[in-house]
This record gives sequence, structure tokens and C-alpha cells, in this order.
Amino acid sequence: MRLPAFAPDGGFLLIGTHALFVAGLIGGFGALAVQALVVHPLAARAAKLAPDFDAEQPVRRFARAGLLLALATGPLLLWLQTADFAADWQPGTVLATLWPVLRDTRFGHTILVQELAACAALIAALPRAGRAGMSHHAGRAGAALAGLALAAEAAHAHLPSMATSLPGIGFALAVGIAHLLGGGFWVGGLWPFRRLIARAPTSLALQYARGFSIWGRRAVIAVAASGLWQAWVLVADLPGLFGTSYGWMVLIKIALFAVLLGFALRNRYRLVPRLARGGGAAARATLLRSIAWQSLAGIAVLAAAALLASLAPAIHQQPIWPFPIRPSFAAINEDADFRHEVIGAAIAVGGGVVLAGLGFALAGWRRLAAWALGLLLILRAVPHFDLIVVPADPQVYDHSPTQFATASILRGAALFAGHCALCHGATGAGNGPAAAALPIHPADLTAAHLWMHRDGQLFWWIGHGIAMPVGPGMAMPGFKPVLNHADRWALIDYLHAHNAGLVLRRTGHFSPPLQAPAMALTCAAHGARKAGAGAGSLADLAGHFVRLVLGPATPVAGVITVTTDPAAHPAPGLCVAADPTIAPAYAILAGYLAGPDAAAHVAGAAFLIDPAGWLRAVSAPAGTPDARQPGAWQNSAELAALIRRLAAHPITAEAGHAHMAM
Amino acid sequence: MRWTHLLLPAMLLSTSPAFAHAFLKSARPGAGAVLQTAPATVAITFTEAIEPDFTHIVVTNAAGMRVDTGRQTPSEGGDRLSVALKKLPAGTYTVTWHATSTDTHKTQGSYRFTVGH
Repeated sequence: MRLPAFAPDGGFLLIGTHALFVAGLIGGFGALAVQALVVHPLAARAAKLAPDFDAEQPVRRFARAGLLLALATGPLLLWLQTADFAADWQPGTVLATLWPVLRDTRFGHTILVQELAACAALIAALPRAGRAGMSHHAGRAGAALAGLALAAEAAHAHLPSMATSLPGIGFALAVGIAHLLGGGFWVGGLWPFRRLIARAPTSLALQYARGFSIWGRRAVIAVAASGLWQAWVLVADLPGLFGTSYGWMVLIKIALFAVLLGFALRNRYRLVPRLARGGGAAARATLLRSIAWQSLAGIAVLAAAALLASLAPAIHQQPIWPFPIRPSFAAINEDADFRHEVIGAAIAVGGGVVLAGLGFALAGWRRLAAWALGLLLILRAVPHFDLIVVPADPQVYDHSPTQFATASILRGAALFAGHCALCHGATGAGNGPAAAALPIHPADLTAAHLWMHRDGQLFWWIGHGIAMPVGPGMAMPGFKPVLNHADRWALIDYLHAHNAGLVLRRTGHFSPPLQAPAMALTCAAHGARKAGAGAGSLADLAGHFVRLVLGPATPVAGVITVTTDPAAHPAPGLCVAADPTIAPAYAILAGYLAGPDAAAHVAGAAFLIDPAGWLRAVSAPAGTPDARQPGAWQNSAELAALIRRLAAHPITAEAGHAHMAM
Repeated sequence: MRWTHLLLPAMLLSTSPAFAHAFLKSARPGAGAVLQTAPATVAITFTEAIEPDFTHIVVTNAAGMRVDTGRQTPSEGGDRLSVALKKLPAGTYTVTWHATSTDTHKTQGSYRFTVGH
């Protein structure tokens, strides 16, 4: 099994200091929250049950220790983070950079708020002269201030920074705060809670256990829900979960959370009731030991959280699939019998689980029979799931970094002629000069089957080759020694463009739907409210219909026109894309073989790109062999009618080639 | 590999992330752009909010000499930064950016554009 590289950002000294800082805040908040939510509401009853027992002293001492830890590590954290910002560890540079960090950065603002709030919480938690305990007022204020310091930690997280593309910074912050405060109460409150259980008389200890359990349950729900949402957004899919260091850290954190939850359930449903039934000193000792182990698991969760925050989210990493198989629904999508077989197996597994569950409600031989029958059903059904798994190579889920750019398509065309055409043929049909001598015929790369393979799968095959279906040796050699990453991705771009071009010439459509290649362009910068103003790439024009004309053009109402004429000047409604790779790349997309005169075939042609970036229609100039809708849609009424028709039938992302390959 | 079957119930179809690993969202001039007239600035929009004090755009010519003035202007939205350029003669230029996002993480990258033919 291959594991992804582990590369935390900022170094272990910075991560460790940040972890201690947060641990201090969690300890301070947890203890003061236990004080405010568990100890204070029971104050009257405690005075009756145990007049001499001082519940506040152990809790308060723990809160002070936590807040002092945060206050002490805060300046060190600021120093280390500033050095990281400045990319310079010289004390002079760091000192000079401190002020800009505090004045201008979100990190600086946040840590200032955290240190001030922690300081105020500490003052609230100090013992008053002549008074045994804190007033309820000071206790609540202390908990709120420590909560503020801890909640501010959410501003350091990944999600609020990414909120330009997510449900919004407010929601991301709220989720982060729920996670921190829930976790802070649960983990930070554990040790103060243990001290209460250790010192209070049994009748009062049971009251504290009930109070802690009520708030603990709420905290666990908040932690689990907010944690799952964050993982969902930042991990996004299975390759992200199993193929990146971030995903593995999420799995570790979930496992540790499960351990923490296991201890909590054992305490709540087994050990506390045992103490309540008069278990005496032995029962109390077992409970205390259990809470101590639970605290240790809590520290492990904090360490995992600190590492997680230092890793780039899975959605920003290239996944490495660690298993020899992967799920694929291609077979059951193509064949109804296979589909029915898998659905039947799923129903059988469901039945087996229900039977096994039923076994718990039965007794004696009936229970054993239910379990055996359930197990049999599941074991019989499992092999049928072979239909939804296929063998997998480690890079099968790689994303192409090229954005299908025109320069990449052309680079791929040149590489194809040099490295692939000998076997696959100049047209890619699998009929090159060397093909006849091969034991297995080279693949026909012009066939529709090309689109059934994921980009990452093609990438792996080009790099590592394809083994013979039976016996030793390779059916296709690997080209990793001679073709670098960019070369291999460029080849895939060319294969897709060439295949799509042939289909277009045959049918008049791009099938499957194809995204327009990325290209740089220049639009008029002025008139900020004008469509496309200030755009620097085709992607910036998303949301508009774009008419790309391979030659001189004038703007038309209803679309943004992009001309490849280098002599043109950007104007309202007209952008210029003077990159010389655009015309030859579009010649390939129009079904012409790459070559020095390819661009001439498409001179004057126009391509219509929809607001989601899909290539939707082609207009070849009049007089050419495959003239369709001639005139580059210069007639705006005709163009408007076409746009209305296309807009009424938008292409969904699922129909595109990225989603076809399963 | 029967044990891997246990993973299947959890396996869901992937959702495609909008910002897989491109930390540069868009740029003007764009990556690979060929321009007739020399630009006065390079402006980059990032996929995340950035710390403008600790984000730098450096533009160099083919000889490796800096051709930006070092004067950087952040946008109000917090995800865009531009740098003023000296007067550029025809040639190919390299834009190198080092970004610090507001969650303190650092990324970097570079791309090229051409003035004239």
C-alpha cells in the first residue's frame, strides 16, 4: 500500500507551539465552562450535601494553569509565525516584522484578541481577597472570555480563507467556532470534572456526573456535526480521504474521536451507574482511571487537530490511490443484468444486517440461528460486489494541471508524432507501421472508448506502460524515462482534442461535451460594468456566451467576441487572444491532423462557448468543404436564436468527459 | 482483496472541486498571453484571501532582471494584488508569485507572458 507524502506547513516548532497555545485555551475554557455550567447550578445542593466541600478551588486552579499556558506560549507563537511570514529567522528581521503582522494580518489581529481575552479571563478566575470562591458573575464572565479566546481560533483555520468559493465566511466561522467550543468543553473540561469526582462526596459526585453528561452530549453533537461538515468540504471525495496525508489525518482524528466517545459512553452507562449502586471506593477508582485515559485520548485528538491544520486540504493535493482496486460503476451503468445483480446483493447484505441485529433481541438457539443466517447471507452476497470494483493504479485519480490549454494540445501533438505514431498510427487509429508485428494490436485512440478512461489512468499507462493481459512482458512500454509530467499530460490533451475533432467532423457535435481549452486573452480594462471587462483568460469570461473567431472579427450583440487577430485592439465586447497556439490547436479540435498548414483549414471559423465553458457549436467559413452555419455568426439575429436554443439545453457537469470516465 | 469490500458502502461518487490545486485563480495579463501593447501592471486574483504584506509578485525579463517597480496594490476584496511595471520592450517575461493566505499557509508559482511577436 502506498502512503502519501506527509508535508506539514511551517515546521514542527511552530505547529507544536500553536498546539500548546490552543491546548492552554481549551484547558482554560473547559474548566471555566464546567464551573459555570456544572458547578454553579449545583451550588445550593452542594451547600446542603457537603457544606465543607470547596468545588471551585480545583476547577479554578486548572483554569488558571491553562490560561497561563496560553498567555505564555502566545508571544512565542507570534514570534515564530512572524519569522515564518518573513521567511527569515534573524531576530532583527522578526522584530521589525512584528508590527506589520500585528497591524495588518488576520493572524496578528486574532492573536491579539486571544491574548487580551485570555488575560481578562485569568483575572476573572483569580481568587478574591476575603472570598472563598468566585461569584457567579465572575465565573460566567471568565467562561465567556475564555470562550471568546478559543472561538477566535476559528479565524486561523482553512475554511474562512477559502470562503470566497463556499457558503460564506459567516457560516464557515460559525462551524469552526462550534467545533472549537464543543471540543473545548468536552476535552478541556475532563480533568476538572475528574477532580470533582475525586474529591466530592459520592452523592454530590453523582450530581456533577449528571450535569457534565448533559452538556457533554451537546458538545459531542456539536463536535461531530461541525467536524463532518469540514471534512466533507475539505476532503470532498474518496481519493482525497485515502490518497492524501490530509485525508489520513482526518481518518486518524475520527478514530481518536471514536476512542474518546467510547470512554465517555463507558463512563456514562457503566461506571457512573456502578458508583450510584454503592460501588464504593473501588467503583470510584475505576471511574477516575477511565477519565484519566480519556483525557490522554483527548490530548491525542488535539495533536491530530494541530497537524491537520498545518496540512494543505485534500482538495488541494494530488491524491495517490493506495488500494489495488477502486470503485467503478461503469459495468453496472452499461449492463442492466449487472445492475440487478449488485442491487440484489445490496438487498441481501441489508437483510443479513437486519437479521444479525434481530439476533440481539432473541435468546438461546434463536439468537445463534439469526446470526448464522445473517452471516451466511452477507458472505453469499459479497462476491457480487466484484462488479463495482476494478483494478486501480496509484495515479488513477490524478487531475490534469493543464486546463486543456491550447499550448498543451499542440505540445501533445508534436510528442504524439515522435513517440506514439509508430505503433498507434499518424491518425491514432492503432494502425502504425510497427503495429502489425506486435502480439497485441495497439489501441485505437480515435474510438469512443478513450473517454471511458480517467485522465489519471491514461497518465499512468503512458508513464508505466500496460502489462500483457496474460503472461509476462508489456503490451505497451512505459514512457516515464523520456516524457516528463507536463509531456504526459500534454499527450492526453492532444488525444482528447484529436478524438473530439474526428467526432465533430463526423457528427457536427462535440460528443461527449468538451470544455473549451484554456487560453490567455486581453479584454478592455475600462467600463467595469461591461461584460468581460478586465478579463485575462477565457475562464474569467465564465457566465457569458463567448464567440471565438479564428481571424479578424467585429463585436456582435449578445456575446463576447474573442478574436485571434494580433492586430486587433480590445474594445467593449471584443477581447484579443493573440497566442499563436490557438488556431493550430482549434484546427485539431475541428478534426484536422496537426501540421504546419492545419491552422489554414480553420481560418475564419468561429466556435461558440457557453457560460459554463462548454464548446457548443462551430461555424466554418463559406466556401470551405465543411461549411456549417457560415458567416461566423456575424448576423446577430441568427446568433441570438442559436444562443436561445443552447441556453434552453444547458450541459451539466456530469455529462462532460471528466465525469464520463468511471 | 476481499477486505476492501468493506469500504464499498462508504464509497460515493466524487464531487469535482472547483479549485483543485490552482492557487492562482486568474491573472492579467494571463498565463501564456501574447500582447501587442506592453501592460502597465500585473494583477493576480487568488483562490483564497491573502495577506498583502506577505504576498509578492516579481516580474523579470528573459535576462532575469526585475522589470516591476515593487509598488504593490491590494484590492478591497482581499484576494487580488497588482504590481506596477516599468515600460516593457518586446520580449518574454516571467511572473513569479509568493502568496501567504489569511490562514497563514504559503504557496507559490510562476507563469510567462509575451509582449510583441
